[in-house]
Amino acid sequence: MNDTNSPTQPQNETVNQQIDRLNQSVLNLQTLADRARAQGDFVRALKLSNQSVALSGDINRLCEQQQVQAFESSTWQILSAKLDALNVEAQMTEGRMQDASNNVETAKTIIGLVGKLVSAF
Amino acid sequence: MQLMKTRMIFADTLASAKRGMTKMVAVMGLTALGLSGCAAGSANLYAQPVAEFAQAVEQTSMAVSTYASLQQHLTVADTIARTAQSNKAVGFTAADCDPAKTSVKCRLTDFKSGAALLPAVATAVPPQVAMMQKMQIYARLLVSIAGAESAEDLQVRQRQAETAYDDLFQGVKDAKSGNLADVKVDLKAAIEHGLGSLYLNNKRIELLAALVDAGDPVVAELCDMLAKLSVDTERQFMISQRSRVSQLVDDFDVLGTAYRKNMGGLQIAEFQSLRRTVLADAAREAGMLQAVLNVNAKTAFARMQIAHLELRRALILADSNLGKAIVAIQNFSAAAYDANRAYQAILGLM
Repeated sequence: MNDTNSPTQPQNETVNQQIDRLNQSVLNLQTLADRARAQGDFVRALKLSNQSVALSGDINRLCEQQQVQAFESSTWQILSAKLDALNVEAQMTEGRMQDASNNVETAKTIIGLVGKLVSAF
Repeated sequence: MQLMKTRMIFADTLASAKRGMTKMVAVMGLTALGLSGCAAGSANLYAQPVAEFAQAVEQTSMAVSTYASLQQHLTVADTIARTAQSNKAVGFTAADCDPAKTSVKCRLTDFKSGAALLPAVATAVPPQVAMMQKMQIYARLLVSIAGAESAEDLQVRQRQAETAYDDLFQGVKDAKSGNLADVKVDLKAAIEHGLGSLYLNNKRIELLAALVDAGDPVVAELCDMLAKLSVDTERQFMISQRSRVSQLVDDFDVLGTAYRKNMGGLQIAEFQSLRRTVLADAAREAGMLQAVLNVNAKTAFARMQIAHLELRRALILADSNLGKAIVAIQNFSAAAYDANRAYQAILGLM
């Protein structure tokens, strides 16, 4: 029923290949269950469905492991660091924009003030 | 720093006032504001598209949070199915569900081994969700830099600029005994635009262009990775969920074979109650399967990538492709809202 540790499992099979192979087994079981159900053989269909549910559980655990490995991989970590760096740059850019805006406000005040001073000369 | 800058500008201004009024106006209007060399452009062209881009990123992020929980749903459903298939007993210790206990979680256990059967609510943020949260920060900062000012804000800024100019012009006019007709128009335009919107808008585009250019490869990489992850998650969910729906339907049909015409009232009630529960579960799980089949999260990621790329092109090519960027952002927005709506529907079924 459970092919995860099957002796026929090819050597050096990657986790991806293992998942694909087990998924194919689940799909085959689903086809057989569909056929039994269509023929009114509900007990046989249920047994086949139980097997496919159990095998799906094994695959899900493999997928979880695979995802954890992916998240811990250097590719993922590097991308995360790149996003952090991008956000630091974005914050600095936001600061520069704020500076530009402040400078304009200051210039506005000074120009108005200078005009009044000149009038008073 | 700001105070120093203001003092320097003010000192320059007073010195210029002594040297000559027209020269001072030129210094203040053009040099101090750095207007020379600024390209022409309309105010806040990018505020609306960038805001829409950020909203679409928020929607995508919500969709990612939901699809991350699909994985947990699969684990829970798998454990329930396995446990129900066997004759194992389940354990539970109410005292473990205590806020004072941080190390022990509230969970169902295997009665014999005491091992955790059903996981407690996950507290850690899934990595793909954390990644989208970073993307959200970036998008929000883009909005801030693009300057989501209202038309009223821009008018206030323009009125302030006009007042400043009028004060200055009056001062110059007084000093020159009213003989300034030839310089008035050019200077008015230069100063008001500088103090109003043109200078800041050019600065905004320059800064946005540099940031979006630097961010584009990172956004592209993120979109590729999350698109692949969403495809893998959806595919695995589909295969597992098909097995689960089949099992529930088969449970229902096999239960049906237990029906006997001579069953007593209690037996009939139990029979019907059990079948109702199983049928309701089967319908709910089938609905969830259909909802996942309807989702196309990878489209949202692909369109996010295109939208950001078109935004970059528009900024770098100084507005010539803004129309194309707006269309790309609208396409991304539509896909993001669709994905989020679909995932919210799934969330309602969990």
